This record gives sequence, C-alpha cells and structure tokens, in this order.
Amino acid sequence: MLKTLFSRNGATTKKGISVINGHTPIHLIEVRQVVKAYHTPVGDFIALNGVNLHIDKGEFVAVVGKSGSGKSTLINMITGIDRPTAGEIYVANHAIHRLGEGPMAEWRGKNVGVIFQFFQLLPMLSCLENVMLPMDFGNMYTPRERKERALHLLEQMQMVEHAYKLPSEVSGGQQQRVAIARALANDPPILAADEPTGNLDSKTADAVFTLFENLVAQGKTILMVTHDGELARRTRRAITIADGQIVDEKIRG
Amino acid sequence: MVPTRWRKVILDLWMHKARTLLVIAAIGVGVFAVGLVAGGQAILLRELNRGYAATNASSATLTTTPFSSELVARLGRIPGVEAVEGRRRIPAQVEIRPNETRALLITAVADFRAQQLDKIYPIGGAWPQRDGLLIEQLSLEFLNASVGDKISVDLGNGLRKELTITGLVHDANVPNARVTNRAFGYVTIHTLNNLGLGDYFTELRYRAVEADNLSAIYALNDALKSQIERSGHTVFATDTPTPGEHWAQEIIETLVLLFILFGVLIMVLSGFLVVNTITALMAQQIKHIGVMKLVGARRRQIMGMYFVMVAAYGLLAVLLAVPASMLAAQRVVLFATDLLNTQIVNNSVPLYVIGLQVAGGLGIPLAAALWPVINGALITTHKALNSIGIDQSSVGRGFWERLFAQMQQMLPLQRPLLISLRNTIRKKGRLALTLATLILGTALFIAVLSTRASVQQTLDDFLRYHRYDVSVVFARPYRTAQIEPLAQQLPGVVAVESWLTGSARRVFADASTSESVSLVAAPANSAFMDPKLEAGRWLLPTDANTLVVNTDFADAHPDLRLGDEVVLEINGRNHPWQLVGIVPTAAAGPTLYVNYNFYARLARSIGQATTLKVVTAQHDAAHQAEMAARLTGHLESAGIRVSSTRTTEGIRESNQYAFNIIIGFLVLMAVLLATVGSLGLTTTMSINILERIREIGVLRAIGASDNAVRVIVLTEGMTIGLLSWVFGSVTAVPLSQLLSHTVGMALLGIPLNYTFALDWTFIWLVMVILLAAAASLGPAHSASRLTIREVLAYE
Ligand SMILES: Nc1ncnc2c1ncn2[C@@H]1O[C@H](COP(=O)(O)OP(=O)(O)OP(=O)(O)O)[C@@H](O)[C@H]1O
Ligand SMILES: [Mg+2]
Repeated sequence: MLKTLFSRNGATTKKGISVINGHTPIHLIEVRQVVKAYHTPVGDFIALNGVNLHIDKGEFVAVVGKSGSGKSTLINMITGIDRPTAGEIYVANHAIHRLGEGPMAEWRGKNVGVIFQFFQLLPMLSCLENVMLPMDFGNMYTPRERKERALHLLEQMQMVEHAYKLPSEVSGGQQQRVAIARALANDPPILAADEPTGNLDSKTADAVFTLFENLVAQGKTILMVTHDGELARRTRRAITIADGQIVDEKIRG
Repeated sequence: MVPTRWRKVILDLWMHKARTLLVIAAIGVGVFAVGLVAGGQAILLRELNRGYAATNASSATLTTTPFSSELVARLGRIPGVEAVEGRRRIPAQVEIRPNETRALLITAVADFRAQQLDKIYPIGGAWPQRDGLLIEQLSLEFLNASVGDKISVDLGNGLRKELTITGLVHDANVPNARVTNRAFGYVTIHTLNNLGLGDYFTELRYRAVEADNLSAIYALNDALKSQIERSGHTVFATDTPTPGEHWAQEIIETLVLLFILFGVLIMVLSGFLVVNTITALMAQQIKHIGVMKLVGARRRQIMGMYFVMVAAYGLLAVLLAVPASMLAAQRVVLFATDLLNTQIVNNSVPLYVIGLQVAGGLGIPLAAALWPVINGALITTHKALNSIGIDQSSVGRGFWERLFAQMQQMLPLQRPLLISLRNTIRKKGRLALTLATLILGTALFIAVLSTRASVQQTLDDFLRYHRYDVSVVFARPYRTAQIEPLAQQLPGVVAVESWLTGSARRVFADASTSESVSLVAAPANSAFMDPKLEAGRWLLPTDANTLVVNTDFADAHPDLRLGDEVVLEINGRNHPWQLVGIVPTAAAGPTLYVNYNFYARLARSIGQATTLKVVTAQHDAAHQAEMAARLTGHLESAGIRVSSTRTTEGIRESNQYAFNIIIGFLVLMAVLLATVGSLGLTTTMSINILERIREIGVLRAIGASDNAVRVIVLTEGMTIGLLSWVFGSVTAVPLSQLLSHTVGMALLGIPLNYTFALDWTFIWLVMVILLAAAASLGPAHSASRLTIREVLAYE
C-alpha cells in the first residue's frame, strides 16, 4: 500500500531536458561558476562570486558562514527561488538557470522541497491543507490519495493531531514540522532548508534535525543552511561560505 | 472534495468578510448606478413613447366659431389629412368644499369609442355605459372627489350643473392636475347637448399624413382654415405643436441628459474604486503568491485562482446589485410618471441593461485585476517572498519624500504625526485614485445639491411676480371704482390693485401675425410685481407705449433687440410699442408687460379691471385659500361675476411639484455619489491599515500606546478626507454653475438663479470627518486587539 501511495503518477521527467547543450550532469546538483550580483543604489553588490559546488544523491550538506556571507543567496540559486547573474546550475538533470519563472515553479514543486526559518505557511489553510497544496498545484496523486498522503506525512512529523488547526494555532516548532511535511508532499528528491531551526529552541531544533537524518536515510538529499555549529558538525559534509565564496569544506566519515 | 487551492480562494473570501464586503460594495455601487440610470431611462422612454404613440397625436388644432360634425366629415376629405376630429373645451369650476373651487377643463368628444386623435383611454379597459363626466386619473385627487360622486360644476356664465363622475381615463397629453393647477374632465357632445349646451364643436384637430413634415402641416393648416372660413366660420387660432414631441419633451430630455451624465460619472468613480481595491487586494496577496510558487504553483494556476477570486467578487456584486437596481429603477420611473402622466404597461428592465451590468460588474474588476494579477504571477518567487508586512518598496527619494523632509525641518511636527503623513503619501498611485474619486464625488455631490438650492431659489424668485396673496379673475371687466372699495370692506384684506389682462399678437413686417400671447397691464409702479431683469429696464410711470417681455417671448422672437419697435395687434387694431426690458419667465409661457394707463386707453377699458390682486393679512396657503373663497362669496353677493381665483402659494406649490422630479433625481444622485465617496474613503483607509497591521504591531512592540496608534491612523484618514474636501469644494463651484445652468435652460429656458449649497458643503465635511474616523479607527481597533505575537505572524 505504501508503495502505491508513494509512487508518483505525474512526475515523469520531461524528455529532452535531461541532456542540455552537450553537458551531461553527473551529480544530482551541480553549481558551476555561479555569480550573483545585487543591484543597489550605491552600486552592484557581489553576493556570490564564482561558486562551484557538486552534491550527490543522498548527501546531507550543511552550509555555514557568517551573517551576510551569501548562504541564503546560494541556496536560493539551487532552489530556483532566485536566479544567478552568471554561471550554470544543474539540479536533477535540469539546467535551472535557463528555466523561466513558470516552468521553474512547476519543476521546483516536484523536485525540491523548500523550508524556511519563517515557516511560510498560508494562514487561511489548515496544516493539512498546507501540506496538500503542493500536490494540488503539481497535480500529483489522485485527490483522495492527497489527503491520505498529507495525513501520513503529518503523522511522520508527529503533527497528525494538529492537522485541522490553522498555522496560527500551533507553536513555531510545530509550524516548522508542518512546513517540512509540506516540503515532502510531492516526494521530491531534494530538500533545501534555510535556517530551518533558526526560530526554534535547541530541543525542538534537535528533533527537526533528527527528522532530516531519517529523511537522508530514506534516500533524500538535503541542503541545509544553519548558524548552529553543533548541528553542522553532525552532518557528513559541511561547506563554509565567506564573502560569496566557498572557503572551506569538511567531510566527516 | 474541493481542491486545496480553491479552498484558499474560498477561505480568502470568507475569512476576510469585511474586505470581501468592501470589494463587493465597491463593485456593486457601480453596477447599481448603471442599472438605475440605464434601466430607469429605458423604461421611462419606452413607456412614454408607447403612451404618446397610442394617443395618435394631432398635427394641429384650429379654434373656431361653432361648427357641426358635418363640416368635420367634409374636412376629412382634404388630401393630405389622415384623420380629423371635432372637439370642444369648456373651462369650468368645481366646488370641492364650501366656498373653495378648483378649475376643471372639460373636453367634449363626439364619441369616446370612435376617437381618432389625441386619444384618451378608459382606466380598466371599458368605457362606462352611463352618460356622465370622466376624470383624468391624476385629476381625481385634485378635485377631492371619487368615482360615482355627483359634483357641482360651474360651466361659466352662472350656469351650474350637477354631473356624475362615471369613470377614470388616462390622457397622456395632460400632466398631473397638481402641476397645471387644473383638473381634466371628459364628456361627450351628446352629454353637453343634454345639459342644454348645444352639440357643436369649437376645435378642429387633424393629423397630417406626413405627420413629421412641418411645412406640409403648415400648408394643410392654411387649406383647412380657408375651407372652414368658406363654410362661414371664423378661425381664431391655430396651434401647431412640434411634430412628434411629447408635451414634456424638455423635462424628459433633461432627465435623460442627467441620467447619462451621472450614470457615466458614477461608473467612472466606482471604476476607480474597484481598481484601487483590487490593486490593494493583490498587493496583500503577493506573499501568498510567493509561497504558492515555492511549492510549485504554475503561473496559469495562480492567475486562474485570482481571476476566479475577482470574478467571484464581481458575481456577488452583480447578484446583489442587479435586482436592487431594477427595483430602484422601477421606483424612480413611478416617481417620474406621476408627473409625466405616463402609464407603465411594462416595467421590465431591458435585457441589454442587465447585460451591461453583468459585463461591467465582471469586466471592470477583471480588467482592474489584469495587471496586478499578471504582475503577481510574473514576479520572481524571491521578490514575492521578501515582500513582507513592512513595505519598503516605495520609501524612495522622490519629490514627496523630499518635500516631507523639508516639512519635518520647518514644522515642529510630532513623531506620530510624521508617521501618519508619511503613510498617507506612501502609496502614491492609490492616494491619487482615492483623491480623484473623493474630489470628484465631493464636487458632484455639492454641485447636485447646489442645483437643488438654485431650483429652490428660482421658485422663490417667482414670487417677485406675485407680491400678493390672491388673484381674483372676473368673468367680464368691472369698474375699479366699484370693486376696489368692495374688496377692501372684507376683513383680512390689506391692499388691492386692479389689473387688466388680455392677449396680443405680434404683427410682422409682412403683416403676418404671431400666435396669441398673454398680456399683463399693471398700474405703473405696481407694488405687487418686482421682477428681476434679464436685460433693459422695468416699466416707469412716465412710460406710454413701452413694452417689457419675458424670456419665453424673447426666445420666440430672436430678431428683437432692446429699443426695437414692436407692432402688436390688440383687439383687432395694430399699434407700435417700444421694447425696453426682458424679464425671466415665471413658468407662464410668453407674456408681455405694459403700463395699465396706456393699455386701458388702447383697449377702451379705462377705469376697468379684469383681475383684482389682493394682499391679505396672512400669507400661508390655507389662509390664502380661505380668503380667495371669502372674496369670491363677498364679491358675488354684490353681483360681481368671478370666473376664478388663484392663490400665490397654490401656484408656487404646483411649480414646485413640477421641479420635484428633477430635485428628487438630483438628490438620488447625490446619495449615490456620497455612497461612492464614502466607500472610497472607507476602502482605502481600511486597506491602508490592514496592510500595516504588522507595522502597527511593531510600533506597539516598541512601546507605542494604543492611543498613539490611534492618532497615527486617524491623522492619516483626516488628511485624505480634508484634502479631498478642500479640492472637491473648489471644483464644485464651476461644476454647480454648469449644472444649474443646464437644468434651468432645459426646464425654464432661463438659467436658474444660482445658489451655492454652502450648508451641504459643510455637512459633507462633517460626514467626511466621521467616515474617515470610522474607516481608520475600525481596523486600527481590531489591530490593537491582536497580541503582538499574532500581529507579527499576520500573513
Ligand atoms: N535583495 C538584495 N539586494 C541587495 N543586497 C542583498 C540582497 N539580498 C542579499 N543581499 C546581500 O547579499 C549578501 C548575502 O546575503 P545572504 O542573504 O545570502 O546572506 P546570508 O549568508 O544568508 O546571511 P544570514 O546568515 O544573515 O541569513 C548580504 O551582504 C546581503 O546584504
Ligand atoms: Mg540567510
């Protein structure tokens, strides 16, 4: 039963996109020479300056660095939330730097689950409906399966008893778990989290982190920005960003 | 099960009830106005035209010496004549209460069932079997009678007869009796004959085959006239109305003009309002759009959601406003028909009007949403997500901001005040649209009420021709030396004046003559008349053959200039007069004013009077009516034959009645405009504050008291309200002049005596202040009830 429930009936990758202009990506995520400049009234500000990064399937990568170093900017490049000024980004066989805003949203809905420090749940929808929303937009699963699946995900996040509450009626840590369930709704291979524990106490943060570890064990690839050195040390791989460049990378066996 | 994204749309509509109501009201008011204006106009014109066509209007009426039906048949054979009919009209008086009479014009018809022209129709469908008097439906109340009553009718020359009212008719060619101050009744010639009044006609009405061709009608007039005269009769007058024109054509045209003018303006205003509301709504939704894009929403899906949402607002507004506007249109039409005496056979609003409403109600909001929705769907996820509660987008360095910085330095403004002023100018586009709506709304509101005040003023100015209370008209001229002392004997009579009234025709250079117009000869220096002058001067005691005309006459004779010599035919003799002045028409048709002494000599009526003007001790309507009755009784007991009396209040009230419809319409428009303006202010203020709930939370979090928050939002509301009031009132000045001019020219042929509605200008100021306070304090109050945690989590 679980197998059918978690099989994806609408997510077959479109043909012809997997091989792009002769470049065949080898890794799940490939960031090549990415530059991001912000235009400000006082001139351009280079937030990312020629970043190269490869991440493979099943990796759990922590991104650390001082405030303002470019962590969010980098993760926004990979999730397609923002676009690079120069360089190439391939995620799950898609050249996402070339995707338009519409195809990008569609692609992201199925391939990347995004989690923020501020949970970004829609306030008028119940927790359950927030989790069902990506399936609705992506036209994934049958309408009946959507509810079952959302309840199942909330159960995984230990939130099933709050399913019918509004986000404003549950705590911050609980909202974050709903946000994680939502990120998993379309069973994307990649999760990208920008300071997902930034708003949570250390105990709740720990619980969220444990959830992530379980997801990695199930084969998900996770990219997580964090200020918490403790948590960063618990991932297998940690990259450090300073002034828009990757300056250090630690891999723990 | 409803898909989740549609749940969001439904919940957005449902959970923000106040916002939903505001948006629906904004759309609804426009849809309502269109329905009222277009629907009302369509019904009114359709029914008027139908009613007018059903009368089969005559092309001209020739007034002659008595003739028989045999002549009528002969005249019908003249080529070019489609139909002829003989009629006779008898002015009569009906005693409605002891000593109180009212005028009744009786029209005699050969046979009601065989009417050809200017047809009247029985109310209820069938003609009564019994012989008797039929009364026009809108005259019955005026006569204080009901069907079946036997009334005492004075048919002139002391002939009094009892007539039974046997039924009601509709005569589309006469107005409400309250307008004319005269009731309309109908009998057959046969009935007249039975009363001993003879079975002859004195009016020949005919309709030309070419009913729209005025020159053909004039040619036929001549042909008929010579035929009639060849049979030994005299034609006294020929009355040729403009072909195809209803008697109230000018009122109708004014109404239609006003209908269209205000319909379009209210539509534009509510269009502004809808654009403002929808734009603000979309601005509030930007973050949601970001979240939805984040979880994979495609552009099409987002656009679909918001277009459906906007269409839902439109649909709800249409569902409420269309039936409401239909009812309102039907009511407005009823109001108009009471004056215009139109029977509404079918009061359904034409489908095209409903189509227009549906198209506008859905189309304008959707068009207003087009840009914000597409923009919202195109915005990058990054930008959408980062447009958080505290809006930084337009805190720039533009003109306003610089002006503002200057102000900050020059004026010792308090910090909260600064925040409010900055807020007011933050959303420039919205501010501009809100101000435009409010300014135009204010200006029109004041203009409409100024026009109403001007109408009132004009009606009051009419009293300048009637500086007396009762006018007694005699059946024949009497010596002033006899009647004046007689009248003065009566207690309650303060002053009297003897006037001569008559008629005259202008004689043109080619010896042809104009239609007959009334002539008033008052004593030189009469204290009973003090008209305002349009041009030239009033009559002086030293004047002899000096003439003053009213604007109606001047308009009919555009060749005449002040100082010109005018030849008048009076009592069959021509005499030259010199035109020295033009006075406004007081709703009495073309009139000439001359000095009594000179005219009396010319008319061979020296020392005689046809009318006695009386000033009484009190001037209210009831007292005037009582004095009129007592004067009649008193004079008649002395053997004087009184043909009719009129009271000044009575005339003023019937004039007022004619204007009521226009005034009523103007007030209705003022209410609609006030509604649009209020809604504009309310929506803008509420939206502004809803948008800043988070900011208010932050202010409170950093220690602002509830009171400080209140001061901030209140100042913002007041600033917008006061700005719009100041500019709106200024704009109202030329606008109201234009409007009163238009209404005056259309209804009276003269500009109204312009009055600015200063009282309403200040009432509106109070309304604006109250509305601004309510619209800003309401949301601010709900904001202050939220905990800081809730506020910071708000959307
Ligand atoms: N929209 C923008 N316009 C201009 N500059 C920006 C913009 N967004 C970010 N920056 C700048 O780019 C740099 C990187 O920002 P980014 O948000 O990636 O930092 P971060 O590493 O995520 O910091 P933090 O840990 O505080 O979240 C910062 O110096 C920031 O000031
Ligand atoms: Mg960041």
